Amino acid sequence: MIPLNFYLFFAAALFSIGLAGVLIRRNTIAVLISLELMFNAANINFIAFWRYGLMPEQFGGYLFTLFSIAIAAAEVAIGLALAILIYRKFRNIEVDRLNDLKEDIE
Amino acid sequence: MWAVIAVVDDAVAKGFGNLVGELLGHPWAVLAFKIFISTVPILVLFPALMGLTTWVERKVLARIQNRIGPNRVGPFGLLQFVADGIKMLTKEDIVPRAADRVIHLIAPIVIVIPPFLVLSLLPFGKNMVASAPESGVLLFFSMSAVGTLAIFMAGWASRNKYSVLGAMRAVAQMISYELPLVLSAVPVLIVAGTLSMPEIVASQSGGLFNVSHWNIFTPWGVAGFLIFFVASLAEVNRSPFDLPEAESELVAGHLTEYSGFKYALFFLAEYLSAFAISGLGATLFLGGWNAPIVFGIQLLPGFVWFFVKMYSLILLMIWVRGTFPRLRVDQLMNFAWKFLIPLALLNIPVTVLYALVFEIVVRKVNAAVWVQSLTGRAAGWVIAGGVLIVCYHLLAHLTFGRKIKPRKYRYA
Amino acid sequence: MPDLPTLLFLSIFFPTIAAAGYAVSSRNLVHSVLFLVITFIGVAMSFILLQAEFAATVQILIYVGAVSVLVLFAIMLTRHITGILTRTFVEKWWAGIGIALLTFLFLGMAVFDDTRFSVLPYVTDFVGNNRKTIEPIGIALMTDYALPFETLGVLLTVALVGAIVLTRRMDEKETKTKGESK
Repeated sequence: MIPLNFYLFFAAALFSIGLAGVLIRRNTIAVLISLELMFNAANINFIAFWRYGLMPEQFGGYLFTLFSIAIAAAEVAIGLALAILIYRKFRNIEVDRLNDLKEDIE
Repeated sequence: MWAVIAVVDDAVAKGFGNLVGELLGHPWAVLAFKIFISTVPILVLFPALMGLTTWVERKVLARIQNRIGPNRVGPFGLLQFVADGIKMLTKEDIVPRAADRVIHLIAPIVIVIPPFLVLSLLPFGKNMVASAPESGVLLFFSMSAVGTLAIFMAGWASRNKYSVLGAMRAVAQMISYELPLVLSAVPVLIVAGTLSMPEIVASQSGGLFNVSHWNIFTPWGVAGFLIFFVASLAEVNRSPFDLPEAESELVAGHLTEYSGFKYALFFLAEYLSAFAISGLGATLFLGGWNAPIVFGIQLLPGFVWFFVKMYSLILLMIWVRGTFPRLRVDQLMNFAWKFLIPLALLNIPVTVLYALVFEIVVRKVNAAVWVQSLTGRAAGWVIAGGVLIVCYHLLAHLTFGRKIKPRKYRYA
Repeated sequence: MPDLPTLLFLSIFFPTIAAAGYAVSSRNLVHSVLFLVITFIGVAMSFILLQAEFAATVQILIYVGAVSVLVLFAIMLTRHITGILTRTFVEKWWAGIGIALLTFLFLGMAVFDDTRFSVLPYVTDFVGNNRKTIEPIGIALMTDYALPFETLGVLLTVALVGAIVLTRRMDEKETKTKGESK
């Protein structure tokens, strides 16, 4: 039997890598990709605690994961729609250049 | 007689497995042997069947188009597949200089793996399923979704405008038609009450001649089967939905820069997907490996019937290819989103309506069991079938209204 | 030589973390997405190891089948046409790495604190052991969790409509063609 710590460590590592990606990358879509990594890490945590927890026959963590997957899909769709809109307007989707509310970015 | 054969079969499998385990002296050997014996037949049989199907397709298409088809290589052209195979394997493997080499290499591999995985989910006969997870049907659809990604990779890696355009069109087509595919399978899941494929086949057994409980003999089954078949044509990129690989359109679209063995892998993947999805259609709607039992005698074993059903769906696909012209991409998307999806969604309440009518009639009629079920079915067909026909005409009018009129021929 | 479950876990752990690392640091955005797909498949396999096969199937269906394709389409539509090689990382990238390392340290210390996790019982004979997880989930979704389920439906509809409305092109070309086709 695999100790619970292993799964939690896996999720922690994945989460940190995703966090690094969100903070480091310039491209908006790369930030969204790293955000997906963080979502997946949280899902692993949920399922691990469901399986190793007190009442697995109530499927609490499992259902939360299913909801989380669906909501993450919806969120990434809207995020990408916004990224496409920003690209259309400014011709540029790099997060460190999009720090003005003015129209022209030099 | 079949019961005896089943018992002997079971004993032989157990005995043989244990024998092999003792010979190798390791408890994992039995597991390895089981894995071997369930996957190797699939790996060997289906590519061979694919070879036969290429010949069948070319001959049938040729006869539909009033010509003969391959008849030079071997008797009746039967060795044409061997000739084609030798040609494809000895062609030079050209990779464009600007292409992304790694993605260009792995795209054919990624596209050929899901059909094999999915073929292991289909129940070919009694106790003849390589793996039966409890969410078998959903795994099938997941694997089709992975194939979409591989086509995109193939188009992108070639760094060729036509490839990228072809790949995007192919992906748009495949994801649009995934919805009717899944939605048309939902009524079957509702009635069978499970996602596991052997149980779905078991729920279609019994009845008159072991045939009348097949899902296609119900109004929602007919509608579901038709939607499933059309959507499966689009999923496999076959005519009339073969815009992604049409030679006259985008130079072969996402397959432009592939030659030799990689092209052969794409070809293999397409045919294997066609087999897999026909197998799924046979399992969900045509009763899987259930064979007609006339007066207690079942002439041929279950797996023969499964292959007959699967192959008849393949022949239907070939027939449709020879008959209909290709659809344009906007006609295709229109058809999926505005017609097939609402129809598939309306099919689900009609299923419940059918079951409800069946129950009510069976309670009211006080006669023998077969009279009850016959009247229940008839009433269900009339009411649910009527609702379905009304919905179909309404949708057809709303979507294609002005365009469906008798054609006026004008001669010069 | 560790036993089979640990071996399986390690054979999932290392490729997934490596792929995640490449996904985050790759210069080519399409390569980044493909490494992300490997990560998704690794996460799905760890779900299977945790006896949650339905979640693994849903993960592959939605993440690999839909989200990855969506991200690839968005990359296609937002490519730089000038072709100037831009920097991949932000100017002060060391701050980001530092914060992520600190987070990993804290989470790691919390994870290997055995006293709080060893009190959890590992239920070995629950209903999922007989591979019958889908029916209780379906029942729970329709009874106990009906409200979140319906809200999810509304949310997905809103997201669908929102994505379409946001990216519609409204130029005067559109009104002209509408007038002509009448």
